[in-house]
Order: sequence, then C-alpha cells, then structure tokens
Amino acid sequence: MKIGVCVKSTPDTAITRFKYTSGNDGIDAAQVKFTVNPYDEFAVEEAARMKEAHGGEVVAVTVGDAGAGKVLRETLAVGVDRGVHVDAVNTDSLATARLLAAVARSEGFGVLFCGKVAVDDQASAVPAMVAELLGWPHVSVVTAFSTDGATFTASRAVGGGVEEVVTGALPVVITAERGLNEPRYQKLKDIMAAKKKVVGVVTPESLGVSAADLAPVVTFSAYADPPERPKGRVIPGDAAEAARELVRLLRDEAKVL
Amino acid sequence: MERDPDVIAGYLTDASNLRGRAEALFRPTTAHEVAAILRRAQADGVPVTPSAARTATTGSACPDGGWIVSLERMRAIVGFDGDVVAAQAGVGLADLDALLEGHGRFFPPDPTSWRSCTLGGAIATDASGARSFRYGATRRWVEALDVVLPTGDLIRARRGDPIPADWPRVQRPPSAVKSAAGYAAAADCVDVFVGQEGTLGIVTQAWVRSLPVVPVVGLFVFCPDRGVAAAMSDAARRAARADASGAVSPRCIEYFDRAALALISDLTPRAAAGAALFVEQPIVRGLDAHLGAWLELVDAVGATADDVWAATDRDGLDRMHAARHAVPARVNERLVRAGLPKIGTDLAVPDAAMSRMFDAYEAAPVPSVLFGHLGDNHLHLNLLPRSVDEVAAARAYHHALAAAAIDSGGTLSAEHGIGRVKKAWFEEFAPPDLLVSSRALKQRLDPGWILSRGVMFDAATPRGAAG
Ligand SMILES: Cc1cc2nc3c(=O)[nH]c(=O)nc-3n(C[C@H](O)[C@H](O)[C@H](O)COP(=O)(O)OP(=O)(O)OC[C@H]3O[C@@H](n4cnc5c(N)ncnc54)[C@H](O)[C@@H]3O)c2cc1C
Repeated sequence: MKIGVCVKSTPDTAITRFKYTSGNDGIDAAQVKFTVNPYDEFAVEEAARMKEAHGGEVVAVTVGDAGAGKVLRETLAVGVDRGVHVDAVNTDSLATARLLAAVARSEGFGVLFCGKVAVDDQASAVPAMVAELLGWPHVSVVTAFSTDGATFTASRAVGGGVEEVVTGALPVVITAERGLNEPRYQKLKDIMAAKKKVVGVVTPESLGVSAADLAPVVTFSAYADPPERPKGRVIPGDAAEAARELVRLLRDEAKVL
Repeated sequence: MERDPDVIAGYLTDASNLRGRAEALFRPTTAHEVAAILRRAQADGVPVTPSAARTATTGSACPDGGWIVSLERMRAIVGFDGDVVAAQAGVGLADLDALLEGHGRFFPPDPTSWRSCTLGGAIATDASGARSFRYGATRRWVEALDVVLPTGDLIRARRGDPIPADWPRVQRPPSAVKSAAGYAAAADCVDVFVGQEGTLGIVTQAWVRSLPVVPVVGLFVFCPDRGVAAAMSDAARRAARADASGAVSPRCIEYFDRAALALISDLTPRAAAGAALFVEQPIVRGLDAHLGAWLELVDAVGATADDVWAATDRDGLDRMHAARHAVPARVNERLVRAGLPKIGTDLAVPDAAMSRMFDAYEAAPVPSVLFGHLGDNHLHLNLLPRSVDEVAAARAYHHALAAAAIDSGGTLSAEHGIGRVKKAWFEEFAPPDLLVSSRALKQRLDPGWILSRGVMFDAATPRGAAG
C-alpha cells in the first residue's frame, strides 16, 4: 500500500523573529528559517511505522516553493521513501487542499497522514478539505492509530479526559496530535541514504489542477502584532506596607480577591 | 549594608559542600561603591568575598567571615559594537548570549552552568566548557577589564597593557593542557585578573569578544568500547588541528562511558553501548562534505554508521544537549538520594598520557561514571560511594589520580579552579616557584589579605616556602 503524508514547511519558531513584508500582508520569508511543521513529524513517524508493520511505500507531499522542497528532503532521513513537491504558491487552504487531493488521487494512497495544525497559520483547514475533496473519511487530533490494511481504528482525545475511538474502512485522512508517537532519532546512515532518494517536482497543470481551481477564496489583508502587554508595576515601600497596597490593588483594581 | 542573618544566609554556600559565614552583605551598583567598600575593609582588616551566582564548585564563593560583596545589582550591558560587548560583571552569560543571538553572534566560552553563572564569575574562574576544545577558555575572549584592587584603587586593564613593574611576576612553566589551577603566567595586565578566583581584585566591568554564529551538525556516535571511541577522538582531533575548517573539524569532542550512557538511556536512541562520543561539527563546507567525511572516520575506527545519531536542526541539537547535560544532573540526584558526597575529578593530562589515565579511571575502586571533554583529555570521573568506607576509598583514589595526572604533566583543575576545597592539594602539587610568586603577587596587591582570604592558598605555607 502507498502511504501518503503531508508535510508543510513552517518557520522554526524556536529561533525565528518574525518581520512583516513591507505591505504588512505577509511574513518576510527572507528573515525566517524554515523546517518541518512539528505536528507533521508525528504524521511522518506514523507513516513510517505503518510501513514497517505492513510494508508498502511512504510518500511525503508538500506544496510550496523550492525552499519547501528542501524542507521536504529532511523527511527522507526519517522513514519517508520518496517525495512529491508540488511547485506552487500556497494561496489559501482550499487551493493547497486541491493540489494535495490531486496528488493523493494520482498516487492512489491508502492512508493520508497530516499534522493536526500547521504552526504558521494555525488554520487546521487543509486535511479536512482534502478528505472532503477525495470523499474519504477524516479523523482529527489522533493519539493512537492502527490498521489491518483494510480497516482502521483511531483514538482521539475529546477533552475532559475522554477518549473517543473511531473505526472505519480505508482510505482515510488522519491528523496527528502530539503523543501519537515519539518521532525517531535521525541516524547518520539514514541521512546519507536519503541523498539517493528522489523528490519528484510536479506542477498544478501536470496534476490537472487549473489556474481557476487555484484562485484564492480567502484574501489576507493585514498582519499586526498583538497589543503590547501593559508594563508590570513595582510597589515601593517596606514589606508590610507594600503587601497591604498589593492586597488593596488585587481587591479594588484587579478584583481577583 | 545588609546585616539581617536571614538575608545573609542565602549567600553562604556555593555548589561545593561548604557553608561559610559572614557578618554583612553589600550589593553595590557601581565600581565606586565597590571601591569604597574595599577601602574601608582594607583599613579595618575585614575579609571580603566577591560573590556572583555562586555556582562555583570549589567553595571559592563561600565567605569565611567578614563581608560579602554581591555583584547581583551590576548586570547592565553597557555597549556592543558588533563584536565586543561591554557589560557589568554581574551580567548572566545567558543574558549576554540573548543579546548576541539577536545579532547572529555568540560568546564562545560555554561552561555547563552558563544558564545561571555570571560573566564576572566566568572571568574570575577562567571558565571553560565543551566548546573550549575549539575556542579555548574565557581568558582568550577578554579584551579589557575594570577592576577594583583590594586597596580600593580602580584600574582599567586593556589587552597588551604592561603589568606594572612593581607587581611580582607569577613563575610557572607553560602548561601542555587546559588549566584553571592557580594564577596564570600573565602576559599583560588583563591576564592577571582572569582565573584569580576573586583573590586579586573585584572585576566590575568587562569587554569581551564574540563570534558569528555558525550552523553545526551534532553527531552522537555509539561505540562498542572505549578503544573505538578513543581512536575516533584522536583521529578527529588530529584532523581538527591540521585544518580547523576541514571536513572533520569538530568544535567539541565529548565522551561517555557505559555507566554514563545507562543514566541517559531514555534520552538517546540506544539503550546501551560500551561508550559514545558527542561532537559538534561546524558546517563550513556544505553539510554533505562533513557527513561523508565523518562516515568514513566512523568506518575507519570500527564503529558503525547505523549507530550514529545525527542532529541537523535545532530540535535535534537540543535533544543531544539535554542528554549531555542530564549526565551530571542525574549523578547528583542519585547521590543526594543516597545522602553521600560526590567525588568528581577535574584533571586533564597531555595527549600521550590519556590512555594510561583512562585505565586508571576505569579501575576505580567504587562505582563510577566517566564523561567529559575528551578532546582536551579532560574527563570528569564521578565516584559514587555507597558507604562511608567507600567515601574514604574514593577520596584516596582521587588523590592518587591527581598525583598521576600531575606527574604526567597534567593539571589538578582544568576548569573549576582551586577555591577552598582543593587548596591543600594545590599546596602539595604546585611547583614551589608558583606558590612563592603567587603569594608575593597577592601580598603586593592585597597587603591586608582581605580579599577571598583562604581561597587558592593561605598566607603562610606549611613548607615555609614563602619565606
Ligand atoms: C552544574 C554546574 C556546572 C558547571 N559547569 C562548569 C563548566 O562546564 N566549566 C567551568 O569552568 N565551570 C563550571 N562550573 C563552575 C562554575 O559555574 C563556574 O566556575 C562559573 O564561572 C562561576 O560563576 P558564578 O557567577 O557562579 O561565580 P561564583 O560562583 O559566585 O564565584 C566564583 C568565583 O569567582 C569570584 N568572583 C565572582 N564574581 C567576581 C567578580 N566580579 N570579580 C572578582 N571575582 C569574582 C568569586 O569570589 C569566586 O571566587 C559549573 C558549576 C555547576 C554548578
């Protein structure tokens, strides 16, 4: 079985300080280091484990520019066999979903793993759209997954400590929550072996997706920083006096006591 | 001046097992305040101990009576010209790095305690870390210092400034190894105040250089045994010395023995291995060239490529650093639970003596964990006694190891310094010339012996060598 996994190249939030483009309508990509979206790492790991258990091929797919293609290569060292890089601009979630669905259809995936959210736009929109476009079931925020090759069982944490168990028939779109697995350590041998693996570059046209299909239905008009946090207040005076004043402020101003 | 014993109680210990005492605490904000305190102390003959983050492991930050001068309120970063940072001595190394990171730079010395220790503390102890294999200890990065001498005089020392003619010169043979044991044979006035453990002056401000951040790949190589790890370390070190920007040119070479790896088996991909190396390879030639060359080296020494954990991004490197730092932390946890003291070595030896030192470390008479800076032949043997009898055996063994290290041209302390806990051994092992000349310098700069009295050495020597 071919196992698909969607990978998005997102800013490495551990080291990135964001700057906006001059028109304030996007993030200045030149200032940013990109890496695999953290939730997609769980998706990649689950795909790799499924292959190890059942055989098949793991194919990772990304939509984006050349930089995204490079980030996709990182997954080839941690269990992915082959990459598909759709060379196109991520205009909005629906356009991206159309491209990913087209790849899933042409590859004939039996399962498509995705991260539960991309940490850049936080939209959580693409996987559900892909499933809808394909007419497949979709299980989100999955923390445990198993399959016998024909049917699947997926658990999801639905809040309040309750676990919901979903069963169904393949194919299915699964989105990975933290805790689904522990992504593997990268080995030097696998990094070297990954160099021989292939990332095929495809265009929207070659997938049969027209420019009209990709016309954005959402436009992004502006980005802005959240309002600055008000400055902390220092209460002067000796300890007893300051404590009295603090209690007064908590009661009368903050109204938390 | 703070005299409240409850407040002072927070300043009486460092990371050694010692507990000091003090009558008063000062928290000055300027060099002039520091000078005024020292003038008064010198006049009244009151002992003074400079105190920063108190992460010293040697008792050097534990006061032995008198006054404590804490640098905690002197933590301003006062200037940055794109390379050199000027900062007050109490600034944390972490704060320094946060500033530099915003400019794509970093401060090369990396003591494991960098998240908590201060710049002044690092300078006073000439701190070093894993990356010192490439970048050296703190000394190399200090450009200038403002120092309040024990007499209360304020001086500014710049690199190249001659040492005043009437200051006695420290006599010591050049060291073949990284060493933090005793005063340096200073080349200029800055050198005098690096590694002096707070005994010659209080540093109030420092100018230190930085480097541009380089991307690195981390490799954690699991080896069947120590022999393979040592062979790999030797080969990597030779390559790095021959060409500092070659395909194999690590900036650190860290070692772990079987026991160390067992302590961190949940943090690495391998549950057990005979030994391991952790290296950071700066990426200066394209990642593939480095990885290919390391793979060849791995094959050549008899390790296997499948046993090499590789980190090519920040996440992976963070995981490796977490594993590295968990070793000493978990050793300490185990000992605290057992209620027994840790006996840890800080010895370094020349290249030719390392293999014999390894044999000696591995023959320890009590359970032990061996890890550390193999690139500098500077391993930390942590002896883990299980009983009071074993504590005595471990201490005796540590002493024998120290004697062997010194015999081979090594050092009693490669990074932590002498402080109070190692001064008896320093007295025993240091060349007489060094002790005599060090005391003479101390006497000249601090006629009342008020500053950090009893740190590094005492005024009078049992051998009578000071004359
Ligand atoms: C977990 C842990 C890991 C460590 N790892 C390392 C390591 O990898 N490498 C290493 O080298 N050390 C290491 N150390 C030891 C210690 O952190 C360093 O020696 C550090 O540089 C001390 O800095 P501090 O600010 O805590 O100074 P303190 O401990 O407060 O003082 C240390 C000495 O410096 C003097 N001093 C402090 N500030 C000044 C000043 N402004 N002017 C003059 N004298 C001053 C003090 O009097 C004292 O003698 C470690 C310690 C711990 C607890």
